[in-house]
Amino acid sequence: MILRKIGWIWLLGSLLAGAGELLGLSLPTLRWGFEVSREIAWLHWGEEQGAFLWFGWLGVLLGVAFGVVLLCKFPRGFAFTPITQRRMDRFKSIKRGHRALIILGVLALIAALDHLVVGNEPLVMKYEGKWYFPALVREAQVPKGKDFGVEGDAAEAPVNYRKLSKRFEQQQGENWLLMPPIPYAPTQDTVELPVEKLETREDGLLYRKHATTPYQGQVTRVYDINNPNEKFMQITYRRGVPEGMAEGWDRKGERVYAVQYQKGEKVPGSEIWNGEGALSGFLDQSASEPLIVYYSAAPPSWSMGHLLGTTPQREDVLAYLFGGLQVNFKAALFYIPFVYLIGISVGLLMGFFGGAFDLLVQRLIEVFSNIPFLFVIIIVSESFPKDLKEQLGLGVILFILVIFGWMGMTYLMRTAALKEKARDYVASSRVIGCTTPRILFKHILPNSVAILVTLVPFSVSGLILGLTSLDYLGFGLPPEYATWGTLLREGLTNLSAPWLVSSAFLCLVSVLILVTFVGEAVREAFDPKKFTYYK
Amino acid sequence: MMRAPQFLPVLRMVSAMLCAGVLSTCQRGEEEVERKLGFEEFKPVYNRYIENWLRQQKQELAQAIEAAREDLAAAEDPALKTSKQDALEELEAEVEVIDFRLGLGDYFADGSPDDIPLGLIWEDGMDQPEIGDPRARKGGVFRNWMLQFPATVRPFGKESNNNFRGYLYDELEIGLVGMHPLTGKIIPGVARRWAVSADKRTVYFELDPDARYNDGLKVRARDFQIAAYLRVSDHVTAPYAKQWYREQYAQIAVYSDSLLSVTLREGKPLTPLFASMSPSNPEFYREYGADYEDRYQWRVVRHTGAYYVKDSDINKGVSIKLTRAKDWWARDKKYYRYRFNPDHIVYTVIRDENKAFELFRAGQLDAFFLTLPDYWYEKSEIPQVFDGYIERYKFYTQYPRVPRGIYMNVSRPRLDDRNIRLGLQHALNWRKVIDVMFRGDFSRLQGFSQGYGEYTNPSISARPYSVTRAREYFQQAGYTEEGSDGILRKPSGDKLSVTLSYGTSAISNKMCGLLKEEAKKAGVNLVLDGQENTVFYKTVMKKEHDMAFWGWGTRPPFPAFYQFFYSKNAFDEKGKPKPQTNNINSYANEQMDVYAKGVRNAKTLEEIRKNSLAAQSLIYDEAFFSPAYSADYVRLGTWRWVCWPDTPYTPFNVPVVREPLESYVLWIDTAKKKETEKAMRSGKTFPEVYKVIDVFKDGIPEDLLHGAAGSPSRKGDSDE
Repeated sequence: MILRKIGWIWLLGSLLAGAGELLGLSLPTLRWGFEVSREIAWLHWGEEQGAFLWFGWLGVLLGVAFGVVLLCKFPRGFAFTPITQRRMDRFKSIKRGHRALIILGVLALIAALDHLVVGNEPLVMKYEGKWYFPALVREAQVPKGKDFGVEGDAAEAPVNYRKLSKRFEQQQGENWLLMPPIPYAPTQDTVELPVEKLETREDGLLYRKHATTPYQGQVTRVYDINNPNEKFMQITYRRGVPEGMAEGWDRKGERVYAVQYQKGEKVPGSEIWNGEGALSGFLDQSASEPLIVYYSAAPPSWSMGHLLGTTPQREDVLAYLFGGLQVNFKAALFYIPFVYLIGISVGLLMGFFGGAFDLLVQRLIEVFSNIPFLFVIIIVSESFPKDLKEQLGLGVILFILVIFGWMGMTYLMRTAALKEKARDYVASSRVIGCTTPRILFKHILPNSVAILVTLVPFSVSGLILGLTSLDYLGFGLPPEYATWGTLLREGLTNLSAPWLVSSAFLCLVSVLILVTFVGEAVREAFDPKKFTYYK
Repeated sequence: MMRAPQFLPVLRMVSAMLCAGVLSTCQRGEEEVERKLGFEEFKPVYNRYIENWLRQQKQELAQAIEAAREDLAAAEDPALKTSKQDALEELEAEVEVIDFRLGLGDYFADGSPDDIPLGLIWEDGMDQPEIGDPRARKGGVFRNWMLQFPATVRPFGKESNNNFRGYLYDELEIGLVGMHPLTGKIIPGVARRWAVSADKRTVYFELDPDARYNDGLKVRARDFQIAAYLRVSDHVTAPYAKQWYREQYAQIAVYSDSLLSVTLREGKPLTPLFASMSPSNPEFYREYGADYEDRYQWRVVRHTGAYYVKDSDINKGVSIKLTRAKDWWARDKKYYRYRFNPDHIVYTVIRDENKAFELFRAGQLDAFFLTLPDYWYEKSEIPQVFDGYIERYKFYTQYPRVPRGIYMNVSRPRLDDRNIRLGLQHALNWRKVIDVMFRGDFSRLQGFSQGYGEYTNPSISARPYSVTRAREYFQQAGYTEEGSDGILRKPSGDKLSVTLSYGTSAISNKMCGLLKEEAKKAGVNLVLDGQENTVFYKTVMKKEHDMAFWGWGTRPPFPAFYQFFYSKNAFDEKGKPKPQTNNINSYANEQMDVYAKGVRNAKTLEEIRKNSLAAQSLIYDEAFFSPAYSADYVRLGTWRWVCWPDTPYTPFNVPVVREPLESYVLWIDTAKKKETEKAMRSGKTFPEVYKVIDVFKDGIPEDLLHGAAGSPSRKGDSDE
């Protein structure tokens, strides 16, 4: 029984969240309530360390209550009404929708694994005989580089685990660490410069791996391949050989050398050298083989460690997409209940009471829905105080979206209520003395809610599209959030890096298609006529 | 959002209809009243106005001086005393200026050649090197692009201060004198020779007898008075110009058709340059009147420059075509003869830079800027470049660098603490911004006034990113603890968080994101406040920002400090930050006032240099400006038929240039164009061209500056 399972999941999840907080753990997704509570001043009482995180605990309590209610409402052996059962069966029999729902569920599950899958903190680390779990344990202080033997300026900065991992490998000691499968945070985590090695083939020309034609473009040689920031030489290659300008830099980053090439040979007399010491000493230094260094967006590559490439800002595209997916699920999870709560209540009241109230609200809705939606959101979101927006981020945008998003279903609900209230069972329950709220929520609502269920998936896709377009236009979430809209915009301005726009577009479209498949199946399952066709 | 584009054409249509309405009424009016320039009537009125205004100013100043004296007598604290003394001296200096102006007589004065004092030293500036290349040929069409169509093509009045005016006026018009873009010396323009009075306030000009507008009308001395009249008249909304002419100029006097003088309120070094004006064509402005702004909306003035625009060549919203005046008066003059070569220059509207690049690639545009690393290293690595059809250049310029960076508002809490500012200087990782976003191609801007040659303080260099040092400074400021989020705080719980405001754009969003990521490592939280650009401008002008990412436009030859750091521009009488001034740091410091005034009111170049260097080191010490990045070169791709100079004095281009096109030294080789087009059809290729011109990389070489007098073309071919 699916509902009982959901009940158990809520119950256990909430209890785990509470336990995790008490034990100082940082559990994926479950930590969210407490994190928010800790960060935002008015969601907790008291000072930082000893603060009482009432919001987090409230979340746990509500979660437990919800789980318990589900378990009690649907005891073992509970059977749905035949109509509901038939609808469910019919939904399952529509394979396309059913499978789409399963895929979405799996995606949600992966998204819920959060920093176990995508993140820049290792899951397990062994350092000088001691075990660490940086991703899973909540530290009072962000660990610094000096805690793990990093020297220099990076010692005072929060530790960069990817670099640390490389150090451990070089030292070949006992120390090791295990990063998540995608070892990059979705945002605010610039990756190291991706480099691609080039190969010189038997014909003496330079090729990219697996390429059939010789390489044309910029080639870089760096002092240390583990630190591609320090350029040694930059050479222009044409048809596999140096051609035109080549420039060299000393270790301080001063441009000290320039030469012209023609068909792979240095043009006599074109060498300019203004560094210290002899030129031959400079040229014979140990440096890397010819490389392509991706200063801007890097293409997808297994060997560079970026399966979907990087953005021009040097963020991992796959991690970024994952972050975007999380944002979308999170948004849907909060947006849908609020919007439907408001929409259903207002619609029911309009239909049930009618008269002046109905007229008034109708006009209000007309006014609201004639305001261009995106414009208003842009204006409102621009005029929100920035520090609040930065703290609450998604919350603010969702709040604005909810304020302008509830009108759609009111009219449907109003019609349903108008129809239902004229029915005999409403009249009879009134006769036996039921209160208005009871009639509304106990009798009318369950009988009319079927229309609305079919709307939910389409609201979800609308929300995702809305968020994406806001971000595309640059009025959406603060830069700490990964969003598909931003990636899409990035991709359209950098069409020479097609992996950006194509991955953002594919993700967006596939999620929207999945949601729409589910929506169609639900609609069909709830259709009172059994045989209908989509035309 | 879909509505915006539909909305605009409607607006335009409405405005077009309105304009049409206005025009038609005007035409009807014309039948009744003869329209004329109206300058003669205006002259006495304005002279009277200026005199009254000066007297009134003097009265107000007298009261202010009285009050300042009392203040000074009452002040006891020595620091307060000096500042009051300072204020008093400033007022007295102002009175001196007003007395001087009242003594001069009329603003628009008329005289006879006998009124010009004897014993003046006349200069003609003919000993400077040539600009451009003698190989340059006239002819051909140069095709360029613009992002937006200008709102008007008028040179002054409402909305005329748009980006495009430079291409129509500022870079084309020949004023009385100009500045040589290599040596920085004064060269003749419409004036053949000039002389500066003993008090350095008045400059006498003798017009070149050949000087004509590009419609053939001779330039006369009174046209300069008319130029001022047109801009200060009530027919036009130009508050800034009105203030400028009222306050900066003391007198414009005409002695004959070819002799005039311009008097400034104060003497300055390079006075002739500051006193230089452009004449206004009286024939063109014959219909000047109350409806000027509508009537002249789409008419390009026939000025003294080489190019004019036919009315039919303004294709509204699409393109503007400039035509070279074949019999231009200065075409054989030294400094002008090898410039302004193409017969036509066409600017087409392309609303997207990426699209413009595609058109350039296809050969529809002749030149494209490749300064951004993306364009240089990736987008322009294309067959057209490999095959030598498109040639690429990297040219090091010597234009004052835009002081781009983060300006900290020192009137804000936290930022009023110098330790915090110092910490922030070390917490802002510009190096990484340069590496990640500009591929390490741009260089770090070292200070507020870079690229002014000897007026730049060479001992100043920007503070590097350093987590350790940043944390040290924050600790000194009392932020000793660290929260679980990695942000430093005071024992009282005050978190170290500072807002960074910026105008949103693809680049600034990314950049500020990077700065935030890096600043967090140093324990400071940057709250990013990206605003729509107009909103951002307003926020900063109201001084409501903590820190702002900003850059000021620069102009050679001297750095400016007064408008940016003078205390008067920082706070109003109530001690609140003063809105609408350029002191966006809200910075007030007596020492800085001395330097800033020293630069502004200097009578010698040495004075400017001394004060300017001192001001720069004070800016460095106070650490309220975090310099960002600058590119000391421009990169450019041009099709093969676009030719550039290659002479010792003009290697590719002149050094003091914001963009290589604005010096008009290029020429189009039509034969080469035909050859290239033929080659592209037949598949013939040329060697790839990539030239780095780094003659001006470390300043302008001495031998070019001082070897100038020995140049063979010394006398020039001026028609004397």
